[in-house]
Amino acid sequence: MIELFFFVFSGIIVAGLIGMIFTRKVVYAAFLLIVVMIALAGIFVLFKAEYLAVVQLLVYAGGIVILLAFGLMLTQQIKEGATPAAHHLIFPGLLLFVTVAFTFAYTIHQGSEIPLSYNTGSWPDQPVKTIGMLFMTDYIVAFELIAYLLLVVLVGASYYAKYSSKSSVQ
Amino acid sequence: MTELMTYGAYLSAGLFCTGLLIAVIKQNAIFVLIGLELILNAANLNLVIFSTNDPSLQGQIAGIFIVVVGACEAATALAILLLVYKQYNSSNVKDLNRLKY
Amino acid sequence: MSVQVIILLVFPLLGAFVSFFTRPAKYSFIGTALSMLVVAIYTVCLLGTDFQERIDFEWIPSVNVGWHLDRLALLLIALVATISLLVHIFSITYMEKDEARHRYFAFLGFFCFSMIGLLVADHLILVFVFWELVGFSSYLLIGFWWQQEENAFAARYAFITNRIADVALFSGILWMIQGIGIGSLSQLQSASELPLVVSLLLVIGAFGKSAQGPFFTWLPRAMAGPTPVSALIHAATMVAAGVYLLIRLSPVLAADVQLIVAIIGGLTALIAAISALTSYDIKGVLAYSTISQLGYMVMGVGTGAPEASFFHLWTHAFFKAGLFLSVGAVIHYMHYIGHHKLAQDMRAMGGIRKQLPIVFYGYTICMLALAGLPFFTGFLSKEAIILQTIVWAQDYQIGFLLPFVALLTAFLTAFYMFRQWLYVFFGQYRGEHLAYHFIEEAPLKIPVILLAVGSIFFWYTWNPIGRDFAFLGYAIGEYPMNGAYGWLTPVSILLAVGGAAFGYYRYHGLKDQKESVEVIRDEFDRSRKGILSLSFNAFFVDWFYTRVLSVAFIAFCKRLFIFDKKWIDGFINAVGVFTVLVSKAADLIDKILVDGIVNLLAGLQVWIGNMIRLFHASRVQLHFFWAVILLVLVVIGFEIF
Repeated sequence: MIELFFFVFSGIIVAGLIGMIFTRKVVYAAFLLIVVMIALAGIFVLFKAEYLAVVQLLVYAGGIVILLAFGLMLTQQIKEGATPAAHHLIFPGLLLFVTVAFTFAYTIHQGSEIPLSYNTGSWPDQPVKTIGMLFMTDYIVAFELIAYLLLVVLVGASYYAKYSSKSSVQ
Repeated sequence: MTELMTYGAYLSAGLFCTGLLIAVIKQNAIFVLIGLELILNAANLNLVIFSTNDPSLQGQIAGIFIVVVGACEAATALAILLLVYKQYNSSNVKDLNRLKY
Repeated sequence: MSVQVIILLVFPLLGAFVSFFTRPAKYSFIGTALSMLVVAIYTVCLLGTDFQERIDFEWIPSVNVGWHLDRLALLLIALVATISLLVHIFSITYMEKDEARHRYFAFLGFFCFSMIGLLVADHLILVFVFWELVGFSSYLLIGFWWQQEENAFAARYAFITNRIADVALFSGILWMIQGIGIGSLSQLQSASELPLVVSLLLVIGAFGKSAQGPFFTWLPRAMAGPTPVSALIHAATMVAAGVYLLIRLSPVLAADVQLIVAIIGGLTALIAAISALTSYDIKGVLAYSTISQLGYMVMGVGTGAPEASFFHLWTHAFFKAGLFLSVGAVIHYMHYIGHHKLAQDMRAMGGIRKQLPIVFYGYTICMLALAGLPFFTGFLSKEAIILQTIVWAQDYQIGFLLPFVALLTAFLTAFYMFRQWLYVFFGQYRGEHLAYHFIEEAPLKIPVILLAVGSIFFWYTWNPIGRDFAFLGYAIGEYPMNGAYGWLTPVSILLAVGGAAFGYYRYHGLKDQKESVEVIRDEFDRSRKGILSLSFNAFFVDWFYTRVLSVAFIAFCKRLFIFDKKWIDGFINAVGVFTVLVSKAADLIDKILVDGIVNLLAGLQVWIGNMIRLFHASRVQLHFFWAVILLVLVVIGFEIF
């Protein structure tokens, strides 16, 4: 049952990726990204990461993709007969793709032979509670830092987007 | 389940490679951002897959951090993209060549 | 420089400057006239004290130049200053209508400065400098009314004629200084005889200034200037500069050159006298008579009596200046009554003695002096020269020709002077009267009277026909008055009176004529034909110069110009074209070969640079590409090693 769902989700993801590679329209890519993100969230659930799946749905599918859509709307010029942005650097891109894919495939193939050492212990009953406890105890510093990072980035992004046209751009 | 993890790793590698390909070959800056998001998600998927056997859930916490960093990256990059668009009146990466030569 | 020389030189120059800047121009005569008065009085005082001085100073290392003030120079300065003063007084009225009087008086003052400088200069270079300045001021004054082209042409003509002679003079001076080692006039007294060529060169220079021999044509043309200028410069003083130089040179001139000088002097005197016979220009007659009298002076030097020449120079200055000023008064009168067109034509005059009685008497006295009648100075000095020619003629086979020429000239002089006298002052006025009531103003009368008085014998001797001099005669110099040849006195008197009588006989009929201008023109045309045309055109010398010589010279220059343009320019252009061709070839080699190599190297650099640039600069995404490739390489490297 799990395998079936995994392959269904994987199929959706691969299809979405292929579509993203070949499409020329950013809007299509953005919607395909939502699809891919939702499928990924499904895979997260299969791998016992329900909380992360929810976060994935909320942040990516609900937030970042909307953000991308907004950026898209603000920057794309809609002209009569204007061809969408084409591909370029296809040869270096493909070279990169093949090289990296081959490297990963080789590594994973080698790594799949090695038996994994399992961590003993029982899976927590309430993983979300455990995650919350960990954030408030072991990862409190990182948690605070990432909060600050988020704050600074949001303030900076809004500042740039709002004022820069008057101060630095003529 | 172990075989499923191997397939998950392959899926993650595929996501990563596709992200790279999109980031390199697309001319639109938003496509590039989409590629980067895909790369981040590939890393996230990897963490999730290999934390299946870790009851302390540290992999998932790292995944949450990655999601936050990805959100930050997307916000910053879009702000920069707006600036670039105002400056060059284009969101084509080909036009970002003022520092050429 | 001593105080005396400074005073004599600086005052005229200062006067000229003051005159030039005096406003209104009406009063501009004051500066120069005052300076002339000062110089005249000062020179007379110096003469009284028997002053003599010679100053040397170093000009440039090993070259001394100097000034000298001896008796001859002082006497001539006194003469220049006196006559110049009288001419200034005369000019007050004569130039009263001219707008540029300040310029006129400044030029006159400048001329006096130059002339005095010439007389006090001792070193030959200084002499030459002032010689040129004198010529230059003469040029300025001849062309004073330069608005009319003929006046400007006359000025150029005189100037260029003088230049031709000055070339010879300058060559002679350089030869004197460098070749013989005589730099000063005062050294000439003790020097030995000069070489033939040097003497000849110097003498030619003197001829140019004194209008002798072939150079005589410039003086009649110089009459284009204002008449007082003619009186001062072209009758009394400047033209005497050549005679002055000859007198200075006379102790050392080569014997052959002295002979040439005598012959040229005699010939010039005769030719000029003949030319004066038919001239109708009131000033032209006087100009030719000046040349003739200068010929006498030159003849005197050539025959070995420079003292006699100097005496004649002195007396001639007075009566000729007087004549010119009288004539100036007549011309002034003609302009006054509105007869501008024929203001200088004697045929349009007549009966003017009634209008200008005082000038008439002054003119008469001066004219009698020039004609060589006894009781006047001209007789004394002219007889001295003729006497010397007779003495000189003893040494030569056909030497008697020279005194014969001199006596003939004296006869002609009396003739043409009476002719002018009768033409101008007697008979009826032949022109048209346009206005009457002319008053002889004091500035017109006084100089004429003074000069006429200076032309009467008693300044020099009590005996009007004798050869023993007293008074000013001693001051001017003693020369051997040979007691022999007593027959000369009556002969010369007879010739002068004969000339006068013949002139009266020939021209007294004018008394009753009242010719119209057309009749005058007819007579004018008649005199241009036949044997008289020789006289009328001054033996065609001037015609030869202006119509033949200069035309031929211009044609020759044009040929030279064509030759220059065709051949020399052609050759130069050919060289230029050849050079251009060679340069073009070199340029091609440079462009193809040298530049090719350089551009190849540079292009190689650019190509390599572009190749390298491709790795990092052309696309943003290539950065990403290379980073990942490097990462992959690192990973693979870790795997392998």
